Amino acid sequence: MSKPVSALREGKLAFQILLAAFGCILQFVNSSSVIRKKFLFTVLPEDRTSFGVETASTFHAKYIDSQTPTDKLTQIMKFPLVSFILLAALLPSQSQETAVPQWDVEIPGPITAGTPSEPAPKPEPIDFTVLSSRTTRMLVTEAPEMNDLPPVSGMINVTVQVVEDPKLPDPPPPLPAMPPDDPAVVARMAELLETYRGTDLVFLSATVYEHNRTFLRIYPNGKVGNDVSAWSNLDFNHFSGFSTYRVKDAVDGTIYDFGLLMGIGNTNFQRMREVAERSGSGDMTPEIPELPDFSAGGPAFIVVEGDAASPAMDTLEQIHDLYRKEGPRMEQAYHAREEARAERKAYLLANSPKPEDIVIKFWERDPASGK
Amino acid sequence: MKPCFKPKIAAIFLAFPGTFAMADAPDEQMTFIPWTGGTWKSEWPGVAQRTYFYQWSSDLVTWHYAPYMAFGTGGHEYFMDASPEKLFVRLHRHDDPAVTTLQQAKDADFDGDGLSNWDEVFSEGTLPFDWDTDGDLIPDGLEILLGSSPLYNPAGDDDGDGMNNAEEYLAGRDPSLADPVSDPSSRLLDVFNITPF
Repeated sequence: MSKPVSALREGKLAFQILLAAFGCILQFVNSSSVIRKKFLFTVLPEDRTSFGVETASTFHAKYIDSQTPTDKLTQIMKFPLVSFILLAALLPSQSQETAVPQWDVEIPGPITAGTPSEPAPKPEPIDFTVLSSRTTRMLVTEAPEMNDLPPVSGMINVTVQVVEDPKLPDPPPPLPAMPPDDPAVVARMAELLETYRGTDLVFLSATVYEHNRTFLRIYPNGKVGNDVSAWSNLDFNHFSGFSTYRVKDAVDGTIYDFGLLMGIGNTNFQRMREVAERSGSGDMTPEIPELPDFSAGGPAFIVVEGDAASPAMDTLEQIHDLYRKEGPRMEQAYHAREEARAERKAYLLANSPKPEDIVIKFWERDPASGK
Repeated sequence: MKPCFKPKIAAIFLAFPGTFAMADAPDEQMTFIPWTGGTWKSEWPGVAQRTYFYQWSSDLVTWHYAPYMAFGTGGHEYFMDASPEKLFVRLHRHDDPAVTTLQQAKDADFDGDGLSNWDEVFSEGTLPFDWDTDGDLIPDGLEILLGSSPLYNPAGDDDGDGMNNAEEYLAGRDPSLADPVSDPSSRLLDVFNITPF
């Protein structure tokens, strides 16, 4: 089963590499920015029509300055080698699909907005007959609800009781296992398989700088070796509150669900400088490649390390396409969560929680019950 | 040892080596089952001549003994209903070839402190495998005889109020509570309300 982008990628790879080379030469000729040797290529989806290539998520060479693409092309055509590369790059583009998106990416469910879920219904109270009870006091310290609050500490009463067997009815026994070749089992399995799509896992490590740049490492299905590292102009704090996103192949309508497992950290340059100063380790701030601001042109990223054939390349494109479509909803939910968190924190600071008393009741089954 | 985690309450089986290792006996796997009415059931297959203690903890650091002991073969089961959202339980097994019945296991004194195993887990709240629960170098049984508490080291200051436990104990204060004046329950050193079976 091929992924929606894999087929296109196979046909586009040479084209992409040529464009990448072209992009590097553009950079060199214009000296508008430093060429980073480990760049594979740069993707600026918002600039996707620069060279007449209209495929929705086609890779484009980095091309970000004040000049128009036409000006840039005119300038570049002065160089025979560059012209050749450009020609070679454009020829394959004739066979590219027209402006049909490769996929539609969305979040199928709601995004958590910080609204606390309803507490689980409490079971009916059980009428226990206490045979013995022993209470002691204990000093306990528990982790706070939020990591920047003081620990929850205090003396509690611990009551351990021995009670009479309340003679609770046994829970219903599990249904008996059916043989796998049972017609009912076979029919049900076929029914399930018809609608089963499976879920691929996207392991994503994100370090967010100043809420406007994120360094990403993507491990397709958690495998090390075909991971890809990239810089993005998105705040990946917005990529939480949901666990799954859905990619629908624009060609055949096949749907793929991806479970997003993201580890995220936030930092800022001031903090890094302070740490570096304290440790005497010198400047630790990373060199962030030039990227347009999100507000200027939408989601963009730059790949800095990885294999062009890795499925992580698709993931990069898809999560940026996801933000292009769902960004406002994701950002709104993020701010709602932050607001709810701030409110909760203020409440906890004003009303310091105390550890709760513990009451444990133990009993043995009455042999007379016959069970 | 194979931990078995449940959503709120976790059961962990830990086998502590006893005075006599039953090399051929397998390590039992305790099963922890959500039971009717939000209660929990623990069950495990017993091994001949093996004594079982049941422990609980709220923080995985300090372990307490439940008022329960089991012995030998058979399918042992024990039920609990707990108020905290987070609680852990585990089994502590002990092999002693001189013990052949549950009653003998209850009457025995595995740590030699002068208190029977059953008294330690059921009425005193002391540790059946530590002859000096509070670390004051006085055996638990002797402390009971002397009328002092086997749970508080007299030289210690468990509540950090500047008065050591012995001074508090003699003054009728609660060694576990820093401010006895503001809390009427401070006079409760240990509350026992035991009705034997």
